[in-house]
Amino acid sequence: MSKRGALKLLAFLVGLYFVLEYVLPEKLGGDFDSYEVRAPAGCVLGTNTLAFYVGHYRAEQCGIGRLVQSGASGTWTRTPNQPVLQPALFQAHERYGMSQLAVQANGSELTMVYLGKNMQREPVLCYATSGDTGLTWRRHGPVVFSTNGHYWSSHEYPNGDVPGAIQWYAAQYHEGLWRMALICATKGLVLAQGPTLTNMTLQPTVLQSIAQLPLGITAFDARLVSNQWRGYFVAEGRLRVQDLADGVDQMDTVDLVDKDICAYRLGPRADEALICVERASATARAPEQAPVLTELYCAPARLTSTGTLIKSVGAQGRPTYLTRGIKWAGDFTMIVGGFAVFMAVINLFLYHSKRIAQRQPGLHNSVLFFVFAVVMGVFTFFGNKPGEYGTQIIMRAPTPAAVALEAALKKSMLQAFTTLTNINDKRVTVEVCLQQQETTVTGALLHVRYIGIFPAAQRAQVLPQLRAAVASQARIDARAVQVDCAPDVMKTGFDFVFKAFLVPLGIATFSTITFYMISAAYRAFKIRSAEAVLLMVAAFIVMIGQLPLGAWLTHGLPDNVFFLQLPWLAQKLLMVANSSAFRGVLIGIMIGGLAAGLRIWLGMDESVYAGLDK
Amino acid sequence: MSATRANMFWQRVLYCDPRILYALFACLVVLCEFWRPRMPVPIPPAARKLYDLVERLPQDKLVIIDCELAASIRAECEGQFVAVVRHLFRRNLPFAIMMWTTQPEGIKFGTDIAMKLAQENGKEYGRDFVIWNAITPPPAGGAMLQAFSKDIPGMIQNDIFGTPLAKIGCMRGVQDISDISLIFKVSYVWNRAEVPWIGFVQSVYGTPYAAGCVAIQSSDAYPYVDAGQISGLLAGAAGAAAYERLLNAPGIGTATVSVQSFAALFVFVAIVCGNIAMLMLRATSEPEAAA
Amino acid sequence: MTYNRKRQIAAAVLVLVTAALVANEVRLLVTDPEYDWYLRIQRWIAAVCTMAIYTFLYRENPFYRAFEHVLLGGATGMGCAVIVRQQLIDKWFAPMVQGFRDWFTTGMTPEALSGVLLIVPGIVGLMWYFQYSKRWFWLSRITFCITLGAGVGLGFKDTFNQLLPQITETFKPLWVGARIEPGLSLLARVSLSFENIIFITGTISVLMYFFFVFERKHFVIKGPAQLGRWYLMVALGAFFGNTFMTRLSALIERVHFLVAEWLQWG
Repeated sequence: MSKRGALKLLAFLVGLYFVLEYVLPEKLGGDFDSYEVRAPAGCVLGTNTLAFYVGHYRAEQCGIGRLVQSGASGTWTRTPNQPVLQPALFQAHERYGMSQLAVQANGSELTMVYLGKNMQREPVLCYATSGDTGLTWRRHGPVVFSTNGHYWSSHEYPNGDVPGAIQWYAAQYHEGLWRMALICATKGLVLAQGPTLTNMTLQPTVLQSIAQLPLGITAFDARLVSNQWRGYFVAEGRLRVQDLADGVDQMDTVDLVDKDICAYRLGPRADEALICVERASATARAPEQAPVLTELYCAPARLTSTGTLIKSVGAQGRPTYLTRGIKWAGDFTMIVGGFAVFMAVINLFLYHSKRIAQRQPGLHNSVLFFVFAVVMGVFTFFGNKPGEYGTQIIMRAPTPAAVALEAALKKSMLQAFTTLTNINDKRVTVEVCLQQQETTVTGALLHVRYIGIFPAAQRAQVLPQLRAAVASQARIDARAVQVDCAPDVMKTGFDFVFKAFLVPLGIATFSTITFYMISAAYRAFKIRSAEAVLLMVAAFIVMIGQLPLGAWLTHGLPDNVFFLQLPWLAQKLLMVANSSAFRGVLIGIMIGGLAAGLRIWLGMDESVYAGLDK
Repeated sequence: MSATRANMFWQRVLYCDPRILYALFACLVVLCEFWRPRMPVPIPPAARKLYDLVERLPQDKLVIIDCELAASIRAECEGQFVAVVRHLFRRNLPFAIMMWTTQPEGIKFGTDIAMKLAQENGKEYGRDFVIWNAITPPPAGGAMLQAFSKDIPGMIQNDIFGTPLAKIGCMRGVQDISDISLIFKVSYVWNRAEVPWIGFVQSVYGTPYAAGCVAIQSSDAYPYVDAGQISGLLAGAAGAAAYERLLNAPGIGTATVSVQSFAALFVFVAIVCGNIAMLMLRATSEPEAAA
Repeated sequence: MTYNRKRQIAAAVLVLVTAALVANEVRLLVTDPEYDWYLRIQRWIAAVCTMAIYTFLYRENPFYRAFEHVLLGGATGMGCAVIVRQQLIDKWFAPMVQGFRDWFTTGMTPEALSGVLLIVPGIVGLMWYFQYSKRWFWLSRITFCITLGAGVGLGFKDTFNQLLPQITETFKPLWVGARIEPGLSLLARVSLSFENIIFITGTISVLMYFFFVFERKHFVIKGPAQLGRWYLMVALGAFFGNTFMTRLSALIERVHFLVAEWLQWG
């Protein structure tokens, strides 16, 4: 095989790995719930005891599974083996997943309410119904809430007037009405009720604000008891049962055996709850497996025990092993790329050294180039360590005494700097070395390093306080504390050169183009054709419309001619005309790029290998 | 004025020394430094979308701010960064600042600004926010992002002070991309080849992605806003000013756009004057040609 | 005006400006109790650097060239130092050395192996520099081809993931009916539908503008292409406006620095 052929093959194989890693899934085969099982909900329908759950095949791919409890043995079986409801491409409100199921049986019909994820990955409360014990479902779209009796939903607010993203909810069909308790991200706990799920009226008052709700809620459900909502909160490893109206706990908080309950739904029977538990795995998890093990249980409603296991993750597929190497591939490309950056630097160095060696005109500029390259390189390497900000107290020599005193010493020493202005810019670092004889501290040496100048007046104020703080905490005489105060040369050098040279030069160079644009606009922007007029008008509207001047110029116009207001025009121009034109360009570029990439990958582009024998 | 003299006059006007224009423009900008009238700041829908999105974020997930500030874009993007960080502090949303940048000074800017804002807002490093260790990404950083999405602590390991992420309070429970509620990128461009968030994270895992970029780059971001791939966009200083108005906290963005208003007006006055000069030159040349 | 006269006036202006600046600095020294020499020297140099760049607006001059090379050198040095420290040392050299150390002390554990394996990207990365050798130039092509393959492979994923939503979202409804957006007035529906039509027309016509396979003789090709050209004019106008605003922001920042931080006026 020739060199050219070998190189083409190498490029192809490297590219093939990434293409296969993209095209092929992480695993082949396996159950639809082989990754995770979550969000259980159950009910009793006639003689059938049913449970539904969200099974994940991958983190972002899920479907709703159905479990049936056989009356005799009480075991739960998954029937059918395929999901009964799955996110679909054209179902916008649940395209990217489902979670938090709630199932209610009304006669022979089942209604399932669930939280879907739309294109923006926002939660949208949706519902579906089934007339055949949950084997097939008919979607009805989002649950619609209203505060003013005008019942509608839009793409932008599919759940209608609900205040903020729905984080948790409980739903129950009671005495001919659907009733819900929602925990929303901004407002807190609100209630709603209505004859149908597209006709829900939100109650105006917020029952409990976010601050009043338990902290760290990982699961929530609620039930109507004597027409009052009773909430079940799983939060921070505990179950809290309280009346939602007044937030009064109805029973002692239960410390859960399983601290990692991530879903809780009352049912299928009155005194039961279906829960999802996350467990850390004893063995290392493969990339195609979920980081934690999830299991579903049917437990007592008060979670006095974990209950019986009803579902664990399904049979695993066969891994394709492609994803396992991606981290190493990422590190590989990062390191190789790091070496590549120096190619440009070497070329620059060669050019400028040639200019100096041959004594070409402008060699003093090349000398300046080298001087500043070396100076900045050295200062950056030694003086710009990440993580240094403000005032720091560092303990050297971690003896037991130093470790014991560290926290108290740092706190009292930092007090000395609080009244000084601009002290953070100076980045004062105080290194404390405690001198010990056996276990007793006998003295201390403080190395105070700063950037720039530490004025004598500030030093006179701070240093005695530092001495006193160390002496008091270490229980030694203040005279045994020695202080050595000096500027940190490298940090000061970096700070000075960076702020004095690099920043102003960079910004000034960037900004000079403004002037050239003005002279170009003056001379070259001539209205000679309709297209030039169009370009100029668009530029005017976009520029002025985005700025306060545009808003001010047209703010006096009446509301019914809002379309003449410059800000409105500017946004429409940007979002419609400009956006569509750029999209056309983008699609063209991407198709072209794809074609060029394919040519290179398949070795059809000979220009890459120019100079090599065929 | 005779036709010839008029013709010469308009020629001099049309072909004047550009340095006169530079000087006039510089004087205008300096004047605006002293006089900044208060004018209403318009709020673009894309900035409003970002604001509403942050208002709706859950408190149990982390926000990532991909900060690539550089000296040349400070004027536009620093305001965006400050405004969004302020909003996150206000809503008590934990966030991590990551700096995968080829601009080393960006690390410095981002750290300094974040720490200063934390002090102003009474927030504590580690509990309320964290600054991840800086990385310089390779030319094709998609592989790194893929690995990052699956194992965030494994990729980052430490914060910028060298503390392991496991010891940092706000990083507790953050394992992979599903623990992230929003990625906000503030940079010169809204999406870079070195860190392709849209291609490798947003479209794969659905994590909301928003961007703050310079105005020059915002034009080609709008198709992505329309497609929903970008959940919010702050375009230049105007975007920063709009966000500051939504927060009711005027800052660098608001100060910059009031000067930009008059400078933009100057450009159009110059264009109009140039066109008038061209038309007058043509008009005064024609009688001569006829003669 | 003679050349000497001009030089005299320029010298006089320079002396006046210098005197004014010195007087201003003395004012600051006297009135500011927290006058910081370090900060002031830094700001003076920054102001000189800024002015040096802006002298290019007058004409090309050696002052500007010198500072341009200062910027180039400084940025190069800083970039190199950052990459060496944060990438090559922290992410490659240190873990690799640790891996070898662990291998020789505790044997080949998975952690030691992951460190030892880092020698591979190191060797591949160093092969870049064979570009400077005529005889061994072909070795650098190996690294080049690996990077090329990785870039193309990753590029496919990036392109598809970015492109497909763009294509699917282009097909907006031509009539925004009640099933799509319930609860809207007729005027709002007409307005939204009109926007969608404009959008789809724009995208398709711009794509047709760049379609050079067929000759633009027939109206079916010529018409949409011309329309696409008009859309592009609008987009370019918007682009011009945004470009100007970006550059202007940098200028505003510099002027603010000169007036408020250097001279400390206002």
